[in-house]
Amino acid sequence: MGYRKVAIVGAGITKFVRRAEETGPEMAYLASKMALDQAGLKLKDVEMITLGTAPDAFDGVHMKGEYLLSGAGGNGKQYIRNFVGGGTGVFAPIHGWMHVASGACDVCLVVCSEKMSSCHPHPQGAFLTIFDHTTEQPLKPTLIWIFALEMRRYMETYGLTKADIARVAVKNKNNALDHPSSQVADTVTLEDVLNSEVLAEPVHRLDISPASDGAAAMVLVSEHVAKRLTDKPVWIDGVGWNLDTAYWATKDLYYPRYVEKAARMAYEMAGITEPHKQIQVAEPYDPFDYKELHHLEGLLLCERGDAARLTAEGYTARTGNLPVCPSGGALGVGNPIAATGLMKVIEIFLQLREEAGKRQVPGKPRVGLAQAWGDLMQVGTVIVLRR
Amino acid sequence: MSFKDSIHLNTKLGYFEGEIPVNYQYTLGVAGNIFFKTLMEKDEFIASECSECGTKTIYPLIYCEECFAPIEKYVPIGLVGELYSYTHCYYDYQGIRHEKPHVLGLVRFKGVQGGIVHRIEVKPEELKIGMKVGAKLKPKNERNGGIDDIIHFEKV
Ligand SMILES: [Zn+2]
Repeated sequence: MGYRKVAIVGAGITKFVRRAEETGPEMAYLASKMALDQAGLKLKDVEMITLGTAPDAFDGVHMKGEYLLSGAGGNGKQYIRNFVGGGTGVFAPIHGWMHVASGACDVCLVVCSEKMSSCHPHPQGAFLTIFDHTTEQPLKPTLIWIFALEMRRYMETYGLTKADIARVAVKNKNNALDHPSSQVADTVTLEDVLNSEVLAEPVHRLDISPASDGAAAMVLVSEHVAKRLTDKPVWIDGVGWNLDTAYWATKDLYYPRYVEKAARMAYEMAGITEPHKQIQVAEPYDPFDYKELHHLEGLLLCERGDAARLTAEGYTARTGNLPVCPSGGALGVGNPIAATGLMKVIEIFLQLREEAGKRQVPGKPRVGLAQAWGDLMQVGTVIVLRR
Repeated sequence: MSFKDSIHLNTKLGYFEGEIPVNYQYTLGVAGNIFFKTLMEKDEFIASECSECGTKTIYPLIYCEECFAPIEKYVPIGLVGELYSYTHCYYDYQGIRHEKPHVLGLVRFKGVQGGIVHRIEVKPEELKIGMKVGAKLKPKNERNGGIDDIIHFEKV
C-alpha cells in the first residue's frame, strides 16, 4: 500500500501505582529511558516523538503534552501529542507508525504517561464535562453509571449473568500476579467479585480497574534501522482507528461498531481474513470486565454474544486457544489510561519475542493484537503485530 | 438568535451553569523533594549535575535534558545569583489591578542551566539587570518545603 515497514525494537514500563512520588515528566523519563536502553539507542538517535496522555484535567496541568515533553525526550525535536481519550494508548504507537511508515523519519519514540492521583476528590469529577453540558451534566453522571447501562444492555441482549462477566476480572487479576508493573493483581475468586461492593448495579467494585499513575514507552524504527539493531524485530502489520458520535445514547450499547470498524481497517492492512484463526494472542482494553467480552466480539475474534462462554471454558486463559490479556490487563496491572493501552501493545511485543517471562503464552505466537477504547464510548484503536 | 446577532450578556440566552469539580494535590517529584528538603534544612539551592556531560540544572531534574542520562548527583550552588530580567506587575491573574506593583524577576546562577523566578525586593533606582541578588528565606520553623520558603530575592 506504499507504506514502509515499521518495527518495534524496544519498550519500557514503570510500575503502575495508586500514587507515585514521581511527577509526570519524571515517569515519562523513566519509561522512555528503559525503551531506548532496550533498543540500544541514545536520545540523539531519535528523530521524532509522539506523546499520548489522557485529558489535561486528570493531571491538573493544562497543555500536558508540552509539560511532559522534556521527560519524553522532546526538547528541540519534532514532538507532538496525540489524543483519542481512553483509546490514546494504542493510538500513540499508531501515530508513531505514521511517522515512520510515511518516511518522515526512521526512529520514533512513543511515550504515554498518566498521573491520575493528583486529581481530587476523584478523577470522575474531571469526567463530568465530557457529558453534554445541558442535557446530561445537570444529572451529575459518572462514567460508571453509563457503563452500568451498557453492561446491563449487553447482559440482557445475550442472556448473560453477572458470573459470566465476573470471570474476566478473576482471570485478569490473577494473570497480573506475574506482571512486574502490577498495581492490583490479586488471587480473587468469582465469589469475591460477585460479593464486592455495588457501585451502580450491575457494576461492582471488582468489575472495575483502578485509577493509577504510570508510564510506558516504545521505540519504532524503519526496516533498515531495525536490521542493524536487533535479530528480533516485531513488525506493525496493521493499524486501525475509528470514532463514533458523542451522542452515545444513539448507539447499540451491546455492540461496539466503532471497534469493529477499527479492527477491519487493521485486518485489511495486515492481510488478516479470519481473525479468530489468525490472531494468536490478544490484549483488548478491559477497564471493566464486560468490556473485554464486548471488545472480543467487536474485534471479530468470536461470535457476538459468545465471548462469555469462551471465557468460562478457558479459551481466553493464558494457556487457552486464544490467550486474552495475558498481561493482567487494566483490571490487574492497573489503569493509567494512555499508559495502559501502550502497556498492552508492549505485552504483545514481548509475547511475540517470547520475552514475557512467567506470562509467556505457549505455542510461540507469531501474530497478536492490542486494542484500546475510550472517549464517550466512541473510539476504537487497534494494532496488529507480527514477528 | 444566531451568529449575526451580537450578545453581550451571557445570561440573555438559555444557559446552564457548570464546572469541572476537582482540585489537585501535586507531588513535588523525586528531584523536587530533594530540592525543597535541602532548602528547608540546609539553606541552600541545589542543582542536578549530569555525570555524562556535566550540565548543571536548576530546578534539578532526575534526568539530563541535554543527553538524557539519569542524574546521580545533586550539588549545592548557594543562594546568590544574577538578575537576568525583571518586570513590574500591576495586574494579577484574576484581572485585579494593584496600585503598587510588585517586581518579578528571573534569577540565574553561574554555570547552571535554568533559573528561579521569584519576587525581587530592590530599591527602584538600584534595580538593574546583571545585579547580584540573594534569596531571603523564611525562619526555619516557618518553612513548609515549598517555593514560599523563599520570601524574595534582595540585593547582596
Ligand atoms: Zn548530560
